[in-house]
This record gives sequence, C-alpha cells and structure tokens, in this order.
Amino acid sequence: MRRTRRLAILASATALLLMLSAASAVADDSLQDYLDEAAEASYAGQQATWCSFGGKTKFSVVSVEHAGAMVMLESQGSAQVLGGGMASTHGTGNGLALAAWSPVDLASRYEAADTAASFRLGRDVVVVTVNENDQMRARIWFDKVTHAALGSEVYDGDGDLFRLSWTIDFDPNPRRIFNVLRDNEPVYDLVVVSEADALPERIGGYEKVDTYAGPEDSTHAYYSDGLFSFSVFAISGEGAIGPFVDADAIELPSGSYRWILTPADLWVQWSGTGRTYVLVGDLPPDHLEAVLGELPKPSRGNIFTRLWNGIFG
Amino acid sequence: MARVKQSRSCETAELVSAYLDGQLLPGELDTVVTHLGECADCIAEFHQLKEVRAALRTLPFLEIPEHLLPDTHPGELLSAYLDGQLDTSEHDFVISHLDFCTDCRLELHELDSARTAIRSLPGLEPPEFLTVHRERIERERWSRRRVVAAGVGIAAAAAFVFAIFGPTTETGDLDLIPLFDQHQARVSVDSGFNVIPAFAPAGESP
Repeated sequence: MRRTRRLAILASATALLLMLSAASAVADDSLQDYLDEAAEASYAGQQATWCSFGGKTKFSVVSVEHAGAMVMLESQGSAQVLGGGMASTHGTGNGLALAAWSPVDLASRYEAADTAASFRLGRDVVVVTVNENDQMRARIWFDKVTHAALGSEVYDGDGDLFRLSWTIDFDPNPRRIFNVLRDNEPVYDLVVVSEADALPERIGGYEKVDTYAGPEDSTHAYYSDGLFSFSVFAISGEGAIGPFVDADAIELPSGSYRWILTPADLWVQWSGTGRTYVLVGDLPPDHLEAVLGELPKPSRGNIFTRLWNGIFG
Repeated sequence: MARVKQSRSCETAELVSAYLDGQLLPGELDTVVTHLGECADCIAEFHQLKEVRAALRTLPFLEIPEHLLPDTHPGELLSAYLDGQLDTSEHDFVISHLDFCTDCRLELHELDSARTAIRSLPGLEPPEFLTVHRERIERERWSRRRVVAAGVGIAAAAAFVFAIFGPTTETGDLDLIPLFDQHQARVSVDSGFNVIPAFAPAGESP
C-alpha cells in the first residue's frame, strides 16, 4: 500500500512538472490579452518616439487618434489613416487594401515576467515587463481604463535601450479621426496575395505570415513573432535604390548592408542573387542581425567595385 | 459584428457598433460624433460594446459551411479587379467578399498566376511566307545597317566592359513610400508592437 502511495505521489509530481514545462513552452496569454486590448483601444494624444542605432538617433512627435481598429497618425501637416488592412494618406484620394491576411500568434519566447501598478499622465496604469528567454526585451505601460499603451521601451540584446515611445498628452475620447474618415474616401488599390516567393518560412524566430504582390513587380513577405514584425520586399535586378545610395553601410558576418533609421522603424537594403531586397520593421538590432543572417546574402559586387572599396573604403 | 440592442432612450445607439467598425455613412458619422459627446447612455453602450468585441476575440475561428454562404461570388469581377477597372462599390464588394470566401481568394490567386505566366510566354515565330518577305526587306536594308551596326557594336562592347568592370548599377529611383504603406497596412491588422503606431513623417521618410 505504501509503495502504491509513493508511486501515486511520484506520478502526480511528474504530471505537475510536465504541465509546468508545457505552460512555459506556450506564449504568455496575459501578454497577448494586453496587446489585443491595446490594439482595439480608443484614445487621442501626442506621442513622442526616440530610437537609437549604429551611432544615430531619431526623434519625432506624432499626433495619434486611435478609435477601435482604426488609427490616424498626423505629423507635419500629413495625416495617415491605418486599420483593417488598409492604409491611406488623407487628401490624396488614394490608398491600398490587402485582399487577405493570416492570424499571428505571440511567440513562445516572450512572457510577461512582471506586472506592476503605476501612475502616468494622471492615470492608473499597469507596467508589463516582457522577457525574452529570461532577458528583459521590453516594458509597456497600459492604461487601466482605456487599455491604451501609453508608453514602451524596447531593449537590444545587450540590454541597452533601443527605442522609447511615450504618450505626452492623453485624451480618452478621440474625435478628429471621425471627421477625417468622413472626408477621406480614397479609391483603394487591392494588394493580392502572391505565392511566387522563395524566402524562408521561418527566420530568427519569426514566421513568414503572408506574401503579397508588392509595388513595382516586387514580392512582399511579411514576418512576425507576434510582438515585432518586418516586411521584406524582393525586387528584380541588383543595385542601390534611391534613398539608400547615400545611406550608411553596416558590416555583418553575412555581408554588407545599407541602412536608414526612422523613429519607429529600421530600413535595410542589399542586393544578391539577381535581386534587390528592402527590409523594413520595428525589430530590435540583435533580432535584425539574426534575420539577415538567414535571408539571401548580399553579393560582394564586381571586381571593379571590390577594388574601389579596397582602395578608398 | 452584430449591432447591439438599441438603447431605450436613443435612436442613434444602434449606430455605435457600425461606428467602431468604421462602417458609418457620412451623415451617420456626424450624428454619432455629436451624440457621443452628450449622451452618457451611449458612452456606456460604447464601452460595453468594446467589451463584447474583446470577448468575441477569444472565440475559436469556425469555417462557414459552404451551403450557408450566399451564392454571390464576384466571378468576372475578379479579373476586372486585377486590371484595376472596378468602380468603388464593386471594389468594396470584392474586398469584403474575399475576406470570407476561400474559393474566390484561390481563384484570384490562380488568375494572377495565369496573368504572370502569360506575360512570361516566349514570342511566336512568324509563318514562313512572312519570313521570306522579311528577308527580302532585310537585304534591302542591309547596306544601311552596316553603318549602324558598326556603331552599335562599339556601344555594345562598351556596355559589356562596363557591366563586367564598372560599378554596380542602380536599380532605379524606386519610391519607398508605397512599400512603407503596404507594410503599415499589414501591421495594422496585428496586435504586436503596432499598439505603438509607427509613422514616418514627411521629413523622416527614407
């Protein structure tokens, strides 16, 4: 009888351990809930965003109106309306609309390691610390009433701050976006799903979620891990594209890339295997390096270019 | 999204759901915006509806049985879609239909693939009698072409040398804003870090 009881206890402990290990292998539901609620929040405000990479720093202040799934961003007299797979710039009469998209799950590497009550902009907030494999990757301040994300910090692989975003003026009642939606009746160009794409399905912990036909006969692959995301556009022909001609270059183990920093995104461009690639996304630098290492490598250029670079840098 | 039960006191309460979905007509939008600023009942209804939407998100996705779908597939409109020849109402209808109809999405992909395949077909050789006629014309032009050919030969040789030894050529002045818009449109349907909306102001965009 005693042996049977010991076996029962052992079996129960084993089952408990299995359940705990299974729970740690799936994404954190509470973090997903916070993100889902924030994506549907309604509020208006001014948002300051700061980003630093490769010795450069970018900063911007943008007016944000968030009403359900629709978002309006305004800066320097230009208003962009986003939501429901559509994007348009107010006053241009044109926009684009995705034909379809697939759901994205939060990667299991993220978990809400800590949640704490705090106070920002005169409002009660919850501070959620997001860990990636037991290392802090981000902190997000969620408003308790509206569920809006009032602020966020994103850290790189060394634990240094990479991007900071703060709402500096907050109003829980958006109003102007509805006038813009009323006046803005653009003609939407349909973006169709494409299957003509040879990029890998999974890179650096990111899943290729959807592939579309891109502008100028390019293909557009969209990757996400449920927290960060990026797009890779593949264009026929090799060579630098407009704004990247004078952009800074960065040397990685996988090759040489040209890059441009904006407050919210990193842009990277390179050429190889007869195509030119443009990557844009909000992923942190260590993720970017891992991702670029698994995408098609940059070509080393022709003999003249290599000679020129060797002599003049 | 189903519309919520109408408030006893307000006739505009029914529009709140459509307001959240961005489906209001211009006249309705004015009414709701004005009304929400002054009606506590409707503001309460607004928050209740958001909770319902949040709860609905937790439900599993179900495939709609084929026999329940209305027989209103876009059909030939899909081809016109790809050609950009639809008017606004047809465009909206096709977009909304593609949201739930797997068959039509598949048909659209096949149409797009077929168009791509057709564009990549090799040119056909002309019939023999046309070839003979063309050869005669070619002979008559040959003397003039010799001069041109010499020039073209020199240019081709220069181009070849430049391609082999010259610096990398530019792919072109591709505008990155359409790429950014397409990326942003896709991000807008995810709930990752787009909770902090990204925007490239005019002075900052690459």
